[in-house]
Amino acid sequence: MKSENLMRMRVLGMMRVLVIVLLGALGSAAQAGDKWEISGIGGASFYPDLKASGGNPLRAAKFGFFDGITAGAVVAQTGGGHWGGEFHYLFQTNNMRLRAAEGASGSADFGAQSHAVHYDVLLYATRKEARVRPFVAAGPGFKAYQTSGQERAFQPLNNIVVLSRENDVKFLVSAGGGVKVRLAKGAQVRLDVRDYVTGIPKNFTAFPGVKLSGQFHNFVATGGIGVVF
Amino acid sequence: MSGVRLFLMLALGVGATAPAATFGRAYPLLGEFSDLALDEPRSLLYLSNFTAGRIDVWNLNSGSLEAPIRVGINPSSVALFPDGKSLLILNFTSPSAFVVNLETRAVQTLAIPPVADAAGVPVPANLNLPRAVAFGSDGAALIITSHQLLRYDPASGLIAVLVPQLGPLLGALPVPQPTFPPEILNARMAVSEDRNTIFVVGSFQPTLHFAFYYDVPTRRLVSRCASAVSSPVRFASIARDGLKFMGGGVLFDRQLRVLADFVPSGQLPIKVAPTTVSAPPPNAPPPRPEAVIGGTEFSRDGATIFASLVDPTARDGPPLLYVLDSDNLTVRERILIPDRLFGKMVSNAAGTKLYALSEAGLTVLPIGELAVAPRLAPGQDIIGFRFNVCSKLPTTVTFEVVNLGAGSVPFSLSTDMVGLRLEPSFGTTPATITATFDPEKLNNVRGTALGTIRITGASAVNVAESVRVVANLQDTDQRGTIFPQRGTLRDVLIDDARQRFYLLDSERNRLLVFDLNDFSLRRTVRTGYFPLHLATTRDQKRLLVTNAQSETISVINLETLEFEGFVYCPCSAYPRSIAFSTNATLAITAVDRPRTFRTADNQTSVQLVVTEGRVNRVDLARHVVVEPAASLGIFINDVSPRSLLTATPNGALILIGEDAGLAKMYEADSDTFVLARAISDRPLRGGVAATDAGLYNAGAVMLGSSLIPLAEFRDSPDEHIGLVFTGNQIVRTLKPATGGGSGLITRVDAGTLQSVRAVKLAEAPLGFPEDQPLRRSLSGTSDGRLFVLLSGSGFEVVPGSFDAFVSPPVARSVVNAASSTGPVAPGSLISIFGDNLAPLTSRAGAAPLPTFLADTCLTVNNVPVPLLFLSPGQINAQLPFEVTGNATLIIHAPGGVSDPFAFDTATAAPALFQSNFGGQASPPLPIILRAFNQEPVTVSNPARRGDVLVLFGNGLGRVSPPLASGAAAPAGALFRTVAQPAVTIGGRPAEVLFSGLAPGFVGLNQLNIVVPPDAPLGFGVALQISSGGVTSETVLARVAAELER
Repeated sequence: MKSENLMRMRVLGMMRVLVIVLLGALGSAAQAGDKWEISGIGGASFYPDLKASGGNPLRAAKFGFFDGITAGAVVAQTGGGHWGGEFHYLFQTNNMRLRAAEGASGSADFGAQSHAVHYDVLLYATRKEARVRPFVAAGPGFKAYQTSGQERAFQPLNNIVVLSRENDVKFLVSAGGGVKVRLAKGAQVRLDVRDYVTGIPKNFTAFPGVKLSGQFHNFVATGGIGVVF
Repeated sequence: MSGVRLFLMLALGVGATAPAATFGRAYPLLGEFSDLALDEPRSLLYLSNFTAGRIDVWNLNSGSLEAPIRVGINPSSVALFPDGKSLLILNFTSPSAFVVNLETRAVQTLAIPPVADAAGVPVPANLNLPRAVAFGSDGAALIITSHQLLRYDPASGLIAVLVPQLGPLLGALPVPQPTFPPEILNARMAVSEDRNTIFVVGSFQPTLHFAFYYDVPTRRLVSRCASAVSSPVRFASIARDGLKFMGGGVLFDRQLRVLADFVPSGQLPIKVAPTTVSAPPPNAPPPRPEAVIGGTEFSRDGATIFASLVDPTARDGPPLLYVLDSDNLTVRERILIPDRLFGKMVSNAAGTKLYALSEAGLTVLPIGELAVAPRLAPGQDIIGFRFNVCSKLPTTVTFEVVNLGAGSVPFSLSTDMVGLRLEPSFGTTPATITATFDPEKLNNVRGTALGTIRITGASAVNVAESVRVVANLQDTDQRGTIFPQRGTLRDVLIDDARQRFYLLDSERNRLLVFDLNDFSLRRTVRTGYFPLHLATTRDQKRLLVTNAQSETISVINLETLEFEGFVYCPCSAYPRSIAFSTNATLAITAVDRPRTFRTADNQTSVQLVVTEGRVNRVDLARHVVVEPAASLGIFINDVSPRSLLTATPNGALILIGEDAGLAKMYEADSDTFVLARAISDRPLRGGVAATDAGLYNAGAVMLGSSLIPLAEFRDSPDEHIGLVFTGNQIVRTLKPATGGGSGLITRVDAGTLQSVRAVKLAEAPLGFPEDQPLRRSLSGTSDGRLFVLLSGSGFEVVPGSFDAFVSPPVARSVVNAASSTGPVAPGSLISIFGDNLAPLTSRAGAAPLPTFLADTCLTVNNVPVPLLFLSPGQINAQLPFEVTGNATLIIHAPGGVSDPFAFDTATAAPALFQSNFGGQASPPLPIILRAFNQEPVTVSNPARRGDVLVLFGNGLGRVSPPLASGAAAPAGALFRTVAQPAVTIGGRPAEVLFSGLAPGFVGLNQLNIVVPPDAPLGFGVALQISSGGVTSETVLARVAAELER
């Protein structure tokens, strides 16, 4: 089976799980008489580099993603108490990068983007009647990494890490917080900060004898505006 | 004959009666014609019938004569009034003109006013006769009479005198036969399209010829020289924009500087002073004028000049129309026309037809249809055959014969080359001709035999360029590599700093820039007309080229190799040689001057034109050559026009060698000529060279610091050709004075000045043409590493080690060039390792590969081996397709002949070539490209399942159809291997789409395969090729999963 089809099926499967979770939450919220929020969000996305090293002689490189921008949507369930839940979708444009570390020189980049979906449970500091509602959030999800770059025969540092034209889906854990501020009846703005943690997608292919270590922490700061009903 | 061709021939009026086709049509008319005027609105042409005393009226539509305008005089010139209503007709025999109303045919007489001479004495009316007329943009006519220049204003009817004492012009009746009106009239005019410029040419005396123009808006006469050119000028034309003029065969710019003085013969016309002069017999008719005869006209866009120019001394041959570049008169084409043109030629407004006076009467040339007219041409202008001790079998070369026009043209070929067979020798274009040369016909005479192949066709309207044939026979005791080059080469100079060398070609007016490392042509730079000698400025930033039949010196920027502009010479001074000192820059110019000679009995004086040489200074800042000083220090400034200049490397001195056996020396420090000596009792032939150490050379004479002859080479039966000082070495070349042979290159012992260690050349150095007995024909790098010399077929490169002792060659191994291991297969590329295999490192140029390179050749089983690369320790070559089984290699090198070296061959010996891809891959990678992106397979560009891969390898054996050894596989055909190889990737069989020769390469195999869908994934997947029971070494490549795109 072709790898992209495989990835698409995986994403669809995960979306299905999340939609079921969301629908369940919506059903229970409707029974409880909770309010709902739909927001559009946008912001910036940053990744600290990871390190690859190995080979004989030892060579090393830092790999990761360039800073990028992100945009997405939030569907939130706002209960009467301090708890809530949110379904997030985020599209991110962060090109892949590779930079020399010890024993090597050069740098490389490769076009890439990602789609992330996750469900967060929110713990608010104030009740829903408050105008300002700080919160902390955490939850699971999935992130699909995609590439758009062209393979190059002589990619620098390809004896350490190859930036490959591959697609991959990784489980993610979201953790962070934010604040929601009601502007008027039915309207609110929100600020969020998240750390999305995933494993290393296979877009980064280690040259034999080289080890890729760590997990990607994707720090995303977003602002958004939405309606509450 | 095809219908299309028949239609074309009829449309072009081609070949009605002539045995060969001609372009255009000649209309025989009764009478001799002096001028014509085109009246396009009426579709009429007015022809002034000089002998019949009438104006013949030619209908352009019907192509026939209408009722003439009878004037009863000898009409010298006609011009249409600007309003087109009247025609002005000049009377050759009386000071009058006629104005003819073209509607009513009413004739009005116009009297030319009397003229007085400088002393105020009236000139008899019969001596002030009108010769030529043209109307300007102000509506007035400019009339030149035999004494005056007049302005006739039709509005007022007044005639004003612009120049009262212009003449007298030559020309009086009766004249000897056959003399045509243009030769009698001695004044012609041409007017620009906007009528603001009227160009006038003519002759006052047999030796005083003028060219000026009248600027109509400012009413100003612009002239430059008392005698504009050295020969009579009988016809004139002007570019539409008025910025260039043609007077006879001379091209002038707007400042009336001579840009080109056309010589149909291609030889410099040197008019030598006679040793004895005899008086003409009593009552002898005057000699015929030595004017270039014909006619010229500019194209509408100004880029082309159509010219029929016949050297008065060579009237034989068919009438021709030259198609010339308008900047330097380079001949683009020679068109056969039905009649010899004599005088005025005009173009219609659309620029599609030329109407010209001709011997028969009128010739019409439909130049708008020239592009489709049948014109034959060879696909290449030179073909070469090379033979050597390893290869003496008949060899074939192919070339094309094409039609530059529309459709196909029948042609036939003929050659003067003994031993050359052409198949087919006739046919229809386009055609591929196979030329086969049998070296037996060279009779073992080593060196180069030259010949030509003529292309003719009954329906072709051009003189097709001939194909030059070069057949060279070289043995290993001959040094040098020849590079056949078409053209007439005049000078050669090595530029050490830029690793290139320059050649001048006077046939095509260009500077050729070659790479000093691979001897490939890097650039062609246009020069002025007839480039003869070149020199670089002291700062080495510019190259100056003397254009010997013009008043210009081309300046070429050596950084950009762009033409920067001209340095202009004084009036009528044509530059021949140039040299730069640390003080002055000197140039030799040739000037034609009238000189009076006394007959042997001292009773009669005869005036003749003689070409004289002068030494001029060049002012580079102002871009001019200044007028020559009367003296060169204490010496008269009079040198041979064939002199050659050279400066010492440090620029302290400039040496002049003169063909008459003289030498002169300019000293930069004192800024004057300090020496002038007769150095030989024989004419000098050769070059001129100088060192900083007080040793000089002129011709075959070696000179000391005071220009005292130290030695003279007397080389019978050989002839001294060139000499060069490089570092502390002296090297010179010789050629057999008569007959064939390969010539010699030899060192000269600096102490004894005797030639030592002479070695045979690959071909004889180029001899001297009559017009250039002194020229540089040999140049060397400053370290003596390499010499370039002009040779019979072009140029020749000789290594500085030409006379070094070399040990016999020894072969030690023969391996597959891709894998560096055995075995090897027929047609594959092989590497031979050993000692003293070749005297120097050398690479073959373009395919087909030579079998003789760097004085080395080899055979395998007596079959000559095509060579790619030679060095003392390694030879890369193609094993001939003919070789099978056990093979024996023999190497012929300057050190001698190797012992036979035996090795085995297999039907196939597959291997993949590896490359570091310009330093990007380390270690080298097998050359495997992904068809998807045409990039090599690497870890970051993996072969993906389903990908088509292109593999470049070696040793897949014979091909079908068969291909000659040494030949590149043509791009238009596929040559598949006879044995089908099998390819596996990770042990899985890959589909082989193609196995054969890579197009455009010699001996290189190409395999197109598909990566199996079940190929294992990984960074080091094994790839192998098997053929003929032999499996290649394993190469590793990254294979990745298929990617959906």
